[in-house]
Amino acid sequence: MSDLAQGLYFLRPELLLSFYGFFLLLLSTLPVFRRWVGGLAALGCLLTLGVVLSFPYQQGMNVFQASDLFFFGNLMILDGMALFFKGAFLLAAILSILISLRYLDTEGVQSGEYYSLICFAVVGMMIMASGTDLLSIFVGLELMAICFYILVGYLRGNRKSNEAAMKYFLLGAFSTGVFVYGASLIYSAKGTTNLYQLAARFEQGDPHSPLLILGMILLTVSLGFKVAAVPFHMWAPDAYEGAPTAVTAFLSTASKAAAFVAFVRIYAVGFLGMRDQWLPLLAVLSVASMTLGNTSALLQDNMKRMLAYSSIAHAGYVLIGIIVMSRPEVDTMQTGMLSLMLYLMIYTFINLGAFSMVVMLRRENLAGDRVVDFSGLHQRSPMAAFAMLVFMLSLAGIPATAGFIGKYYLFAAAMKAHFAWLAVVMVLNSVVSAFYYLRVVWHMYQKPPVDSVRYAVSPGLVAAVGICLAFNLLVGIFPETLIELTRRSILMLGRAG
Amino acid sequence: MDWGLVLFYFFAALAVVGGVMMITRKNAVHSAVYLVLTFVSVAGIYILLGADFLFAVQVLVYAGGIVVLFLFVIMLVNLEESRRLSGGKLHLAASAVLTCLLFGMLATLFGRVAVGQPSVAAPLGEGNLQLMGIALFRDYMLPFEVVSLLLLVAMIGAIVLGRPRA
Amino acid sequence: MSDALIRNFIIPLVQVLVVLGVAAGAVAYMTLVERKILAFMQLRLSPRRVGPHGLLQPIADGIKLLLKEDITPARADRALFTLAPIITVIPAFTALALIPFSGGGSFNIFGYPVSPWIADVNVGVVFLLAISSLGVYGIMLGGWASNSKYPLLGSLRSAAQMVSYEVPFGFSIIGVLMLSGTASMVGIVEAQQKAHLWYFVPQILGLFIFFVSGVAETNRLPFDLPEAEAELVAGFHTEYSGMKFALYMLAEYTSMIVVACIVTTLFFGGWLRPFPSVSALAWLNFGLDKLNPALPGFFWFFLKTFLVLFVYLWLRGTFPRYRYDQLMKLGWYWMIPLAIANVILTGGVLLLLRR
Repeated sequence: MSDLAQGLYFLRPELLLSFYGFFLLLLSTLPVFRRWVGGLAALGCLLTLGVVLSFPYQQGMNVFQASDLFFFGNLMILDGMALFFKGAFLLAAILSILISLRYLDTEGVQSGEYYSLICFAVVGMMIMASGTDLLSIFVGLELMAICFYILVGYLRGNRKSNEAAMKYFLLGAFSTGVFVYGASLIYSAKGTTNLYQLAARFEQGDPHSPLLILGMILLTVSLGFKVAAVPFHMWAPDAYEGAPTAVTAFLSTASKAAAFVAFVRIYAVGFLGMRDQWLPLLAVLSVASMTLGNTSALLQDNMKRMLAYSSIAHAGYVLIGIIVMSRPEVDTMQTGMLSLMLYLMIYTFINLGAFSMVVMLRRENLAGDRVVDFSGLHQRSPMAAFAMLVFMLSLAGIPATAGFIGKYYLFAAAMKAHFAWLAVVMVLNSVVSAFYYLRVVWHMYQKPPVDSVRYAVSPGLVAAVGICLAFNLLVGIFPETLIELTRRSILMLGRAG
Repeated sequence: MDWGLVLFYFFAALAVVGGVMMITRKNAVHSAVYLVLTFVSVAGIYILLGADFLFAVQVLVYAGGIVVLFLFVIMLVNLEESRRLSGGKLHLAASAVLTCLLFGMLATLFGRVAVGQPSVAAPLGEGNLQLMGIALFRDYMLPFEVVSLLLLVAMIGAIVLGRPRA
Repeated sequence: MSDALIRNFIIPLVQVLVVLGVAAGAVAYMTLVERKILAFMQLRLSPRRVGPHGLLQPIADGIKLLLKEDITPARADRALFTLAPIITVIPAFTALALIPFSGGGSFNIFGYPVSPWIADVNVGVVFLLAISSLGVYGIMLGGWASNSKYPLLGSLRSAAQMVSYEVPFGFSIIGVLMLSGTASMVGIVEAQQKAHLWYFVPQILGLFIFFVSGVAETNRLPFDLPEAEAELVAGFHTEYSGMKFALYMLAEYTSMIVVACIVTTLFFGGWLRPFPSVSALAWLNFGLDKLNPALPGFFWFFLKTFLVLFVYLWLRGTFPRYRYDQLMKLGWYWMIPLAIANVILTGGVLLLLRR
């Protein structure tokens, strides 16, 4: 197979989804099909998911040689981690589309371009997940970011949405500039933007140039912005609050996961040779995000803002996984990787579930995004209250939920890598976070309802909540399958010499 | 006398002056004109580096395209005098201190790189249009295509956000 | 004086001065030719008082403009008001540096070889596009700095017009670049010589788009909306007088000449005589090539350029002015898609031929 043919073969999911995005765009111009666009978008993501899963099915889990994994001249790689995250993005997209179906009508916006933008955003994320060169990671990142700038401001009649889009766009554009500046410094210091070549040049004993350190700091700033880590989190609460809730759900899960893949690729592959330099930096980011995110979340009355701060805190937890990967021992590194992938997958399902509940409360003229809007949910709809209870407990990391499994593995990884102090900070923070998650539960079960407007329940929403709920309970009680899947994905991870 | 070096310092000084003037002018149109000066000076530096194509693209895209649109918008909204930022003296002092700190940090970092030490990055040299084409369409074909998708998405965004409300 | 100094500094300087002088003279007489041709087309008399057949009219005009009072409106932005006409002139003249006026040989002056062009740059065409894209600043800033409503409207129109037409202007050239395989102006003419074909034959669509966009870029009739007399008094230069006004006129006519030169070079074989490979037509060189092989090139280049300029004037004498929305529609709905189609078509045909 020629390079190009192999590249296109490996690129099938991205190609399929891009064409699907065009297809939806064309379809949405015909009024007859407008009602079907949402469902078709979900179907397209499902098809793409099938293509992604066909790779390990056709090739077997361990057939690939490390060097066979690269395509497009070392710009991209198709390893287990890439496949795992591509699957996660697509699942998040499908769930977000499911909760958008009715929500967009409630908000009264045209939905045509909305779904194709989601498809293009996923294409960007998938390219990021496969990117092994600062260049390919960057274009994927930008494709994703531009889709999100538009999606965040999709409610044009809503001032909050406009403000959110403006803030997100300005800060996002700035962080893009920082990324490119950092990458250019790295290129001028080492003469390559390829992460594996960078790693090889470190092994040859090239001196650490100050340019390289500055470049690394700038990349950290930019990626820190994308995952909303303190002190680069300022945009998150406003953007999360103002954006359409379904977009917030997608933004807080898939885009964060995509930024973390880039984090892993850049730090655990490209910059592995300068781990002593980035370790303290990321540790500071992690501790600050956890602490500030959780303490700020305590003060929020708005559900979306609260979840925004909680997602800042969760970014802090996930950073621990990357910190663990700085250890030279191979199995410790793999433990770090495992805990990070597990956590991001689980977090995707919890957060999407929680935001789906917020979507359900958005009805007629009620914004329904305050914490008090959850009052009396148990009286009015016990099933919904139970689902929200599970999501909140899972976010807090209470045993028998999926969130516990994620936190446990991170904790264990930190202990194994001798970062006991980080593990302790994480546990303390989890205790703090329990307060505000349980406050929602208290409102649901102990308070009378504040209004009597019907909840916006739709088949898509029920399906999404059902999937998230089932995932949380199943993984909470029988975590082995997911852990085994993740472990296998890591074993597929090729390391080019 | 090394004329290349003299020209470099000339263009570099011009770029810095343009940059400083751009952020200190109260009048938005004047700022835009200084921005053009900076862009063109940077383009001049590209020529000194032997990157002719980069020069042309820099002038064509930044100076000739983007700033024209800036000016267009400035003139349309008649942004005569931009109001001073209402940050107060404390804000100003804090930013000044931070900027000086950042400058000091950058200066020490760059100072440690020996002056005149050749960069690892290879210059393009003669025939850089061909080399650029080969790099873009063979080695970096995928990012190039993704950028086309990105531009399409940006266009969709402009239409979605600018469309008259139904 | 050292050898290197002469080669790298004195010779280019002399070349620049010669080109500037010739261009300025050409602009001056271009105005007269324009009035003569228009008068001929409209069956009326042209200027014929100053000198025989009015031949000294441009000089009289020049003196008049120099002596006129140079007025700056009271509330104008003084610095930019002065700077704007200068900014307009610079790119127009800079573009001339890249035009190969002749070729096939160089002149030997005091033992130094002098080429019949100032610079041959590897990325010549892109360079030209870049330089020409700066011309819009003078018009925009001049209109804004006048602090007056008609000039402002004129400059806003021109900005939108020039930015819109820059896209097809650049795109229409790509077909030529694909055929020639080089972006150097000299290289493109040599490629046409080698192919025994002037590119206006395969690139007739490209030529059409390029020329129409070129007319729009230089703000000439029928696309002279930035200075539409009936609506905007005199557009962006309403408040200008004296030498500053003259600079605007100078820039406009120089840009016209530059566009004509580019059309000649890219589509009509530049300095080549008709059928350069047919030796039976060698008399078309008029024996000048025995003196120096580059000499007949000048004649043919200037003849072709003049013919293109004549089409410019012909358009002015024939077509009414477009309405603004029609102009934008023409640009975005027709010129840009056609230009892209031309690129695709050219690529497809090239692929078929190579097979």
